[in-house]
Amino acid sequence: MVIRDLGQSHFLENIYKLNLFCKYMNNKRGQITIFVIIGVVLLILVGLGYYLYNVQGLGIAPQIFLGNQMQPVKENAMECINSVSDDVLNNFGLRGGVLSPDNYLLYKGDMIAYLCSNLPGDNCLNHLRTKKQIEDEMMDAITTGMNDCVDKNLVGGFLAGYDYNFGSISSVVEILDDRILVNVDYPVTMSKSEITQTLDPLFLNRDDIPLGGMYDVVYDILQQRAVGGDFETIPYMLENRGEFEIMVDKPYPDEVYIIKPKAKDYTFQFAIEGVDA
Amino acid sequence: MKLRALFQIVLIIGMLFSVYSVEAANVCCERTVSGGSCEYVDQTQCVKGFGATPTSCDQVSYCQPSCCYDQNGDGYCYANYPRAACEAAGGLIESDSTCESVDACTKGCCVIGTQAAFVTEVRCKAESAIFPDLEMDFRKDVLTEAECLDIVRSAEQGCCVSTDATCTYTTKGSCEVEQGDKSGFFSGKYCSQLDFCSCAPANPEYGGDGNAENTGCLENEDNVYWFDSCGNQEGLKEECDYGSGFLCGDSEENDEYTCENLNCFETSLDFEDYVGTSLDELGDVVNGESWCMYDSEDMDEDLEPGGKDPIGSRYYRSVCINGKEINEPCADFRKEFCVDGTVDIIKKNNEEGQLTEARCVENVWDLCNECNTANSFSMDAFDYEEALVADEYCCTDRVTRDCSWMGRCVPKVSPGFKFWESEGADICSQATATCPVVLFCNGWNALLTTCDSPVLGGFFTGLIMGAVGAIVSGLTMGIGTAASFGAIAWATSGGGLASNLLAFVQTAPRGWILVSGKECLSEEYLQSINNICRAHGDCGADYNFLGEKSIDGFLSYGEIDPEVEYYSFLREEMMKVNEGKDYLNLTDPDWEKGVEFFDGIHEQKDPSFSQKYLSFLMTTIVGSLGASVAGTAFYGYEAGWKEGLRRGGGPLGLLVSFLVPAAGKAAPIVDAAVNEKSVTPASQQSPALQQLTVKNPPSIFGLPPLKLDIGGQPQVASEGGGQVVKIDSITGQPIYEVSAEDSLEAQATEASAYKSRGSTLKGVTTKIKGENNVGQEVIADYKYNTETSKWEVIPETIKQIGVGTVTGPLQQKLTGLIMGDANSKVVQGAANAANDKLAAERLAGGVSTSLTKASSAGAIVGSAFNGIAWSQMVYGIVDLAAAQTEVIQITGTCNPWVAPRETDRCEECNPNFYIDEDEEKTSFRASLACSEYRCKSLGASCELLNKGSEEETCVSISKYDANSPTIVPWLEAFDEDYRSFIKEVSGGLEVTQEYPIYSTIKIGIQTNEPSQCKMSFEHSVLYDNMPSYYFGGSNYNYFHEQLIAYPDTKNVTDGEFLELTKGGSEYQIFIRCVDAAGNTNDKDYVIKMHVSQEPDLTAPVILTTSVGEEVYINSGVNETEMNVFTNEPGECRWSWIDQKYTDMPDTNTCKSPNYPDLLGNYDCLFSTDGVGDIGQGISGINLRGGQFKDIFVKCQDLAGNYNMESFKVRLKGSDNLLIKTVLPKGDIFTSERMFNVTLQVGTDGGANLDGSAICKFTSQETLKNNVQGMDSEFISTGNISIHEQPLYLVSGQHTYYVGCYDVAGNVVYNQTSFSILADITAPIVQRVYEDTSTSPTIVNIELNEDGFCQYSLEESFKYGEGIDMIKDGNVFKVQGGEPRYYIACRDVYANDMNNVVIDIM
Repeated sequence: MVIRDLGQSHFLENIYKLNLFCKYMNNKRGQITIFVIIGVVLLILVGLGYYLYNVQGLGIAPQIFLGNQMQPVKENAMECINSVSDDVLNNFGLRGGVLSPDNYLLYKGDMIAYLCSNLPGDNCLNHLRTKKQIEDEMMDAITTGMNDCVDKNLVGGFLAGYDYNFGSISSVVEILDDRILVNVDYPVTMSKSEITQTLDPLFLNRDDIPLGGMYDVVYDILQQRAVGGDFETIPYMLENRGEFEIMVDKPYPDEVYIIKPKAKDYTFQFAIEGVDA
Repeated sequence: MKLRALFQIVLIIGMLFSVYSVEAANVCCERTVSGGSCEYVDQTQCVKGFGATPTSCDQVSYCQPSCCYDQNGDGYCYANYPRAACEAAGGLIESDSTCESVDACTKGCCVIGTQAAFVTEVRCKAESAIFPDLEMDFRKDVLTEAECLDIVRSAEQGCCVSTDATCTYTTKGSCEVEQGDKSGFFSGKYCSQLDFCSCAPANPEYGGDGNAENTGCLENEDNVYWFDSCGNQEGLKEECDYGSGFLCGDSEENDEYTCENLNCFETSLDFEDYVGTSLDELGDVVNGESWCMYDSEDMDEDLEPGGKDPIGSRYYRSVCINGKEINEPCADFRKEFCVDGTVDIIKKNNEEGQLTEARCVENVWDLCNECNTANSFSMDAFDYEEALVADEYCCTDRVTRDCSWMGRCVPKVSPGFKFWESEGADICSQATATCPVVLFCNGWNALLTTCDSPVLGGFFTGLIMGAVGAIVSGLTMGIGTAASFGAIAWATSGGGLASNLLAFVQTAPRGWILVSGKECLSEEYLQSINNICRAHGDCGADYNFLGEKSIDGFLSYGEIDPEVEYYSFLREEMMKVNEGKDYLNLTDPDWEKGVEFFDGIHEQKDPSFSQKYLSFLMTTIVGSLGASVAGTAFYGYEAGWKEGLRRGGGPLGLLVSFLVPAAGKAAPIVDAAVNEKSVTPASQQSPALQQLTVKNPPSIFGLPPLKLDIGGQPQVASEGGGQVVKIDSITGQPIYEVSAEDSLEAQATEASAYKSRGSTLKGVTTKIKGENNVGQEVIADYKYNTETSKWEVIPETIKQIGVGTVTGPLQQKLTGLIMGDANSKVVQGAANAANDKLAAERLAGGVSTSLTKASSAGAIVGSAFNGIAWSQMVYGIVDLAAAQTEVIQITGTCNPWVAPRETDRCEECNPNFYIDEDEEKTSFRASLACSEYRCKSLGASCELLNKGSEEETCVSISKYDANSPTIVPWLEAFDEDYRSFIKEVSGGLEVTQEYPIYSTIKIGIQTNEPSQCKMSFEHSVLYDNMPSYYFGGSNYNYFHEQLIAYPDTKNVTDGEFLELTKGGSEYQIFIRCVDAAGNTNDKDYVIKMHVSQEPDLTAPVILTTSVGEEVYINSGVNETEMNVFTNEPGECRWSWIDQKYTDMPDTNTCKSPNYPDLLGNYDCLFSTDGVGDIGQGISGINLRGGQFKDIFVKCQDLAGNYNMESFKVRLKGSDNLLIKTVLPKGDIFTSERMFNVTLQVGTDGGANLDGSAICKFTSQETLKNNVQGMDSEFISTGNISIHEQPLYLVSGQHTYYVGCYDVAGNVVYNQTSFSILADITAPIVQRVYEDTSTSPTIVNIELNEDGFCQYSLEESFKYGEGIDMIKDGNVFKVQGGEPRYYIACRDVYANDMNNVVIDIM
């Protein structure tokens, strides 16, 4: 109860003081106007300062300024290369080494390319693409993906305090036995006060994808199957000490080979066309 | 004209449309837009300018299979590669599509340093090119991979010590260091054994501490090895037996390598319902072991006979690899089946063991029918048996075909068909079989249509026979004179009665008789046909792989019409052979039944002689004969046997009476009994009569003369002359022909018996043979003279046949001639004729007439039996003539199997069906994939949904299903902490526990059938009108789990996520589902939940930072950026000391945005000076190599909760990374086209102060300051300071840029340039001249390049053996004055030219 009483008396007291203050201010209207104008000017100056410092880099060494500006570009590019290469490399594996197969089997949601198509008799026509062709197609896919992914708005803009230039994105993919190397050149150039900074090429080492080794497995399987021979998975796996697991599924009338490296998640799968007899 | 023009316009427009309406057809594209070659695709996919042929690709030239390889490419040889694809890849084409005869594709051993690979020469070349220092070593003579690997294994190994004391354990061939005291190759020594190698041992055998972390595996080796501190192997630690399932590995990733057990400990074999190869005796399933699994025990391929595979069943192979079981289905529709076998193995510990191996093999079933040549209908029994033997031999030839013998050759593994499309009808029909059942019905039953009811038929027959019998018995009983008969008559009549009775009993009650094919009516036989039927494939009545039965594929008794006469009989017969069961249809297919019928011959048979003629024989012959005998006996007792035969002997008696002229020997017996007249012995007969015409007795139907057995005395008609008495056909008078068989005595007796009954015999024809009338016939009348008791001819009635009445002397003569013996022969013959006449009259005039004429009891009884005999003959003949034979083909029609109509087991096809709520498998079937074939076998309404997706599901889609899916909560889908707060309410569920804001919520529902569900925030929206926000995806599933994330902004859906409004609200999600039949929920299913008003009382969780928990700092760097990631928005601070959040410097505060990043985290940044939401970067680090500092991070959420404990980040300092040397440099001369160079970089300093770094190189200048972008890492780099890379380079200028970085991110770059100067051509003498301006003169030789020259005056020589000439640039001088000079030069690349001879003229 005491507290409540105290609270009420304070409240009335404050109302009273506010009333007195208003009366006082009416008498000081001219001064207030000046203060407001000064405040507005100060606010503009602060905003201008912020703009000049952060956007135009006024007072910052050009190299550092450009470095700061380049950093988000680089991070964005790295995010892109990671996500794009993930998609591209996984899709290549799941689709039989072809990003957009012409003839494919829809299997568990994946379009799996027929890497051996029917021929009369037991033979089949080998459609395995060469490593070079796969690399080239991966390269194109990553380049396209990067172009779609990178945020070019991170660079420049109308009020940018530097000059900038975008080159065309290019990439190089190298399939090794135990890994895939991806090199993406995203030529972003920023220049300010005769200082130029270029975004270093981006490099990705996917040692979790031993695609070269898996390609050899696919090659060996198709060499056998293309000429009408059987491919025995167990001796092959044992011979390679289980380095690659080979599973065979047979969605009628086709066959699907699923190859996984030991203790890794990457999957390469392809289909062999069968005959619905 | 206008009309015509209009028509043409319309026609043209129509044609245009018709042209454009043609759909693009599939063609074989030489090149497709997606980069493929020889693909049979839509024409629009073809690249213009390349081939596009509207046929399959094997028909076009540019896609013919070839062997494709690239001599300078990747080294692969592609067999059966399309030509166009090969050209597109830039390969070389060889016509041998198998590549076997292509030299470049022959495999051999490719040795590259310490490695070896069994590859083609082309590939060896490509692989070797990676290591320019190494020459390609391809050994064609090595034929196997094992032999190839042994080449490297058996190579001499030891420690290779370089001049800078770098020690590497390798092969001798790989060590190129010149041998010295402390350098070179030390064979058989590990590097840790050499004092001058600073490699600390790990192997206790060499003084190591045995730290298990210093172990590792070697490529292509099974065992675990020690590794010294330099990373060189140091001997065997543990021997692993890969054959027993052990291999070097570190699956725990703790750097401690061990022999890891690769065997499988949890497999399908563990399940109780497992069906497949039995591995009980083997214990563990070892690595590489494989076995068969299938759906039914009957599918074991070892079972004989086979063909018992259930519909929808499939074979599977399981493999144990790396401790994991892999299930591989054999081809569906049982195009393949699994076979297994065991091999003996010796394990590591010399224990004997067994290894099971299995594989899927092609099912060659379609050749089985070739071995069915035996045909019981077209072959006789012998040929049929022979054919069966040959068929069985053919059938069991497992090399050629996979068949099984069950009396017919059937597939050992019955193939599957798309039975739902009636596929396989032609195959099934091969098993359709017919079995003939032959029925016979006698004539009277057939006429009376009473075959089906033999009792009824017997009634009618009995009625007829009984009526006659009644007459017999009545008469016999009534007269009561039997006792007065003589014993012989009694016996004779008794015998006749007995035989008559026998005939009656045998023939009376007969209906349908089963002639053959009784076995066809049995269930066993039906089972036999059906079993053969279903062994042919998915045919007949059979069970599916879950044991559900369907009999619709097998039709039996298809030809039996219930309206036919024999229907009832057949059913009764079936009941007899089937233990009282009426098996008109097969009910339960059974493999165990009908086995004995597999080899049986089922042929059609005719009724047997006895079946067909029994009635006739018994009734007509036996019965009629019996009655005849009885009748004759009774009648003959009074009227004589001749008369008895004629009048009481029925048809047979009559026949006999015609054939027998006299009663013969029976007469005296009768005569004795009557005791009335004397009999003239045969010997006293007149010779004249004996000369009368002899007529042999005719045979009856070809039978011999009758033998009559009367009273036990054989009475054989005697042969000899006789008298003929005939009925004149013209006058209608009887003409009696008395044969010689009638004894004279009998004739006399008959005549005397007759005399009392008449007075005149008219028209008796007599053949006489006299002197003047030889062989002539005369006719005369006779009169009985009672006084003389003799027959006397009436002379005036004598007529000579063909002449007329005779008179005068001829008359007298004939009278005398006739009467001369009248009383003995002619007259008595005439009396016999009278008897026969009476019999004929009785037949013609009826019994009453006879009765009136025969007044005695014997005659009456005899007449009765006579009637019976006639009746029986008629009965028998009718019975035979009207008999009916029916052949019923019992057909087992084998049609494709039909799925059960009523089923609710479709879902049991899905592997998910056998996974419980804890996601544990409950059956081995959880490993068996469902397929359309398996699904369809479970029921006519079963359909496989979501084809081609990861969620293929077999469900029942019945048109009678009008029920929408039932939705219930799926508790397991909810977050574990909330499961106990889920309350089912009317029309949905409610999560009573509040969800904290900013948490990700998992919710789930379960439907009673596979369904597709949608969700909405609006209620009462029809399913089809709901937006496409699928609850748990668009597939048809039982279980639907949905993630609801980021409940912080607004009540909208976005992609797969459903976003809720801010906290403090109650949310309702309205769900409706649809099943595969299109039934949708009429009402919403509501999930109600609450999100907390006060988001949380707990501090945010610091998940990580952008630098992790430990980071090296670049040398010279005193500040760094850092992102902090948390689970909710807020702000974070860092400090050098661990203090309360509020005490941490304000400047070191960063704020995260209120929206999460892509991973759902909230992050804020500390960077440089820190502006706005960016906090002050971490500055003042000032660390050198070997030093570290910790910073402490704490965060506070928007509610003011902050961390009590800090997240610690350790910053580690580093020194500059330096590159000390980069080699080679300058010029390198060589006379070879390619030259081995080692690129070498020496580093120092860095994070670990020892120069350890990763170095890379490139030849691209643009990458010279981009270590990440550089092409290649040095082959030896990492924790070493000397980084080397062998290169194999062509001549020319080379510049390599190297970059190295250490763990702190210190990067250093450098480069080297060098030239490889190669000249492989010898120098040429361009000019020779003699300078005569000096004395002595000087001979000048000018070369085309820099070099050196020598000369000789005597003979040709090799460079090095001559005298040096004076070099002046490219001009070489020698003193003149000699007539001849031999010159040899060498250029600076050491190319020698041949001698040049210079003659000075």
